[in-house]
Formats: sequence, structure tokens, C-alpha cells
Amino acid sequence: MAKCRINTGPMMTGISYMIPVICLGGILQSFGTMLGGSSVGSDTTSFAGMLYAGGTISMNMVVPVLAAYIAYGICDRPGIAPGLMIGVLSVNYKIGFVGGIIGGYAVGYFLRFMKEKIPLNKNLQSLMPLLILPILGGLFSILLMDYVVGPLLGGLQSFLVGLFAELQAGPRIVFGLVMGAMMGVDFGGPVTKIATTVANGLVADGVLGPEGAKVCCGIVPALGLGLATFLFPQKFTRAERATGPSTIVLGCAQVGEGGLPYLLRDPLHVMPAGIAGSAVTGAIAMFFNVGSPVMMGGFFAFPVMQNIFPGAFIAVAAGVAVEILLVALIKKTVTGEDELDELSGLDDASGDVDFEISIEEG
Amino acid sequence: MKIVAVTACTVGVAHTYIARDKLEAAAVKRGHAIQVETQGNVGIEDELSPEAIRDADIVILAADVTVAHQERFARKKVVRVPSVVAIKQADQLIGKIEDKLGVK
Repeated sequence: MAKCRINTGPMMTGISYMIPVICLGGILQSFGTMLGGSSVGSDTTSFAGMLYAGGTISMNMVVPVLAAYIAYGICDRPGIAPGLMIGVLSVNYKIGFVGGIIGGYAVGYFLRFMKEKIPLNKNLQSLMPLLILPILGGLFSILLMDYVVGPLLGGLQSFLVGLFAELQAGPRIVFGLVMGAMMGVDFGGPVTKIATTVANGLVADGVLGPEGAKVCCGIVPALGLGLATFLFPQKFTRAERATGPSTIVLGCAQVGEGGLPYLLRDPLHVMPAGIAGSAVTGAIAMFFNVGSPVMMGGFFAFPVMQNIFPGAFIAVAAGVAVEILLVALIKKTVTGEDELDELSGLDDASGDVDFEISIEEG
Repeated sequence: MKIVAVTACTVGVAHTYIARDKLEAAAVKRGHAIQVETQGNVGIEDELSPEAIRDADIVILAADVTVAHQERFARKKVVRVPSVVAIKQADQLIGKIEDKLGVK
């Protein structure tokens, strides 16, 4: 049974360690915004400002943690230090998840190869994990990120940001539609960042409409998926349903990343729902001229936003409704392979179990 | 025979523990002693003692993510399967280990 497939184990390890970091950062940012209002980003003395700043620090650690534990999943502990570094590099190039995943896999396999190939005198063995592997991994990360992946993907990203910014001259509903669609593609990933970079930049120029639409769109993907786990439980695995409530909270706090586990398990059916829902929200929010001076917060930011009633509420409700409807229509009912549902009655007595018994080295 | 196992899944809140329950049930049904350590998102629970690992005839790692502290299993016989195998086919899994190790 030699099936060719991508090794997703390391990716799952990375996601597993990443999830709590997202939850921590997103919720703190939202609470900070709710308590501190629109100036919370530049406020360093109040409790609200500290909450927001702490949340931002945590959100900046999301991709480093993902990259580090992808590498850890491949080459064990030596991968963590260079993995963290390549993740931060990816954040600096504004290529987020994509850069972090590429970087984590690359540095992980590089170090595993090095671990096996470098012959070392027994006396020098202790230098391997402490000195040689981290430094080799760090050099590799810098070469890969600063000379190849960063400029390539980063350049593509800024080109697209420029392209998207030009769209702002057109009808604002179209702008909202496109921005929402982009935010529904990867729930906080690099495509989202193209849209949010433009919206965030316009706030500095005093144009608050796109940012208002952005806050509304950011709520939709995770909130819709979380609610859908309750309305259409047959479309979700047991683990997905178990994380439903926390996904709803993350959605309300505008942490689109809360929807990532759903997106990664079933991208073909979740992505269209996310795109459509978020696009509807973006268009409606732009139509009603919903404006926001703050970048984060979701529902918690509504008190400091403009024209929220009824515009923002209609926008979010319509987007969520569209997303849930599409989940109901196109997402397949979970069965067989990915369904591990009830504790009884799913034993698969027909399939053969295939595994090797290996003796561990050491 | 004496079995020790570690279960771990991606999100670390559901499958980790279902896999443990299924392995324990299957092992007891087939007349084996078993201890299962879970590595969920809250961390390690029911950590395997060095004695339990030393005395074990086989180590089962039923995990979708990298199992922490694998150095404990140096020179042991180890079976690696995704958590779904422990959840859906725990009985066959242990049966096949019996065959391969020649245990009744």
C-alpha cells in the first residue's frame, strides 16, 4: 500500500501548539479594545492598553509557534529554536501562515538530514543539539527566508496590496465585496492580510469605512462555522463540534483564525462558504458606511465604531446566514474515514490494520 | 502481555481520550494489562512511570502529532499508528501485535 501523500503529521503538531496562542492573543486584544476604546493601540499606561499590547504580542507569536512545532514534528527538539526564528522572519515579511508553514517544513527536514549526515566524534556529540544544529538551522532559515521565500512571496504580497488599493477608487460596495471575499479565503492568513493592510492604512488617512467593513468581515468566518456546528452537527466531526463554543467566542472577538481547524480539514467545502459569507458582510457594511477607528475587537469594538446600527448588525447577520447556508448545502455529511463519532458502533472490523513494530534506537 | 500506550490528537480535547478508552477496553477484553498516558492540550496526564515502561512488552503510540518525551522508549518495541486506528480498530491492532510478537 504505497500511497503517495504529503506528510501532514508535523503540520498537525504545529496547529496543536498554535491554537492556544491564537485564543490567548485574540481574546486579550478584543477585551483591551472594549475597555480602552479607539486609542487603545497607542495607550501604554492603562490596564486596557496593557491587555491590548499583551494580546498583540501573543498574536505575533502565532506563526513562530506554528513554524517551530512543525519543525519539532520533523526533527524533534533541535527544530524549535530555528523554527521560532523563521516564523518571526515570516511575520516580518508579512507572509504569515504560508511563510511559516514553508519555513517550518524546510528547516525541519534540513535539520533531520543534518542530524543523520554529520559524523561527529563522541566527545563533540554534546555540541550537536546545543550549538551546531541551532546555528546551522538559523543560517539555513536566514538564507531561505531573506533571499528566497521572503522576497518572492513578500513581493507578490505588496504587488497585490497595491492592486487592491487601486480598487478603492471604484464603487465602495465592490470594494467591500472583494475585501470580504479575500478575508474569507484563509481566515487571517496572507490573503486576508492583503485586504487588512489596505484597510489599516486608510485609517491613518482618516478613511474609516474599509476598517469598519474589515472588523465586520473578521467576525463572520469563525462565528458562522461555530454556529453551524450546532445547527448542522452532522457536517462536523466530534472534535470540531467539541471546539464549536470556543470558535463562536473567537468569532465574536474577530479572531478569524478560530475557523482554521475547520478550513484545514475540509478546505474545498469550507472556503467557499467563508468567502461568500464574508463577501456579503463586506458589501453590506460598506453600503451602510460602517466605520471603525480600531483594527481589532469584533463585537467588542462596536461601541467605538460608527453607523453600527443597523448597518453592522445587518452585515454580520447576513454574512453568517449565508455562510451557514452554504455549509449546509455544500459541506458533506461526515461519515466513514473522518467520522469518529460515537464511542460504540463504529468499530471497523473489515479493514486490515497495517503497521510495523520497530525497535527504538537509543 | 504488558502494554503501555500514549495517545495524542491534533486539537487535544476529544480523540486523545476516546483513543485511550478504546485501547483500554480492547486490551482488557483480550486479557492484557495496559496503562495509557494521554498527551492532550492540557498536557500529559497519567504519565507512564519508568517501571511501567521498563516492564512493558510493547509500546503503542496512537498519535496524530509528535509524541513528547519519546526518549523514554529507547530500545523498546514500539508500534506507531494514527489515533484513528486506536479508535476504530483497537481490537485488531492488539490482535495483530499478539500475532507479530507470538503472544497468545
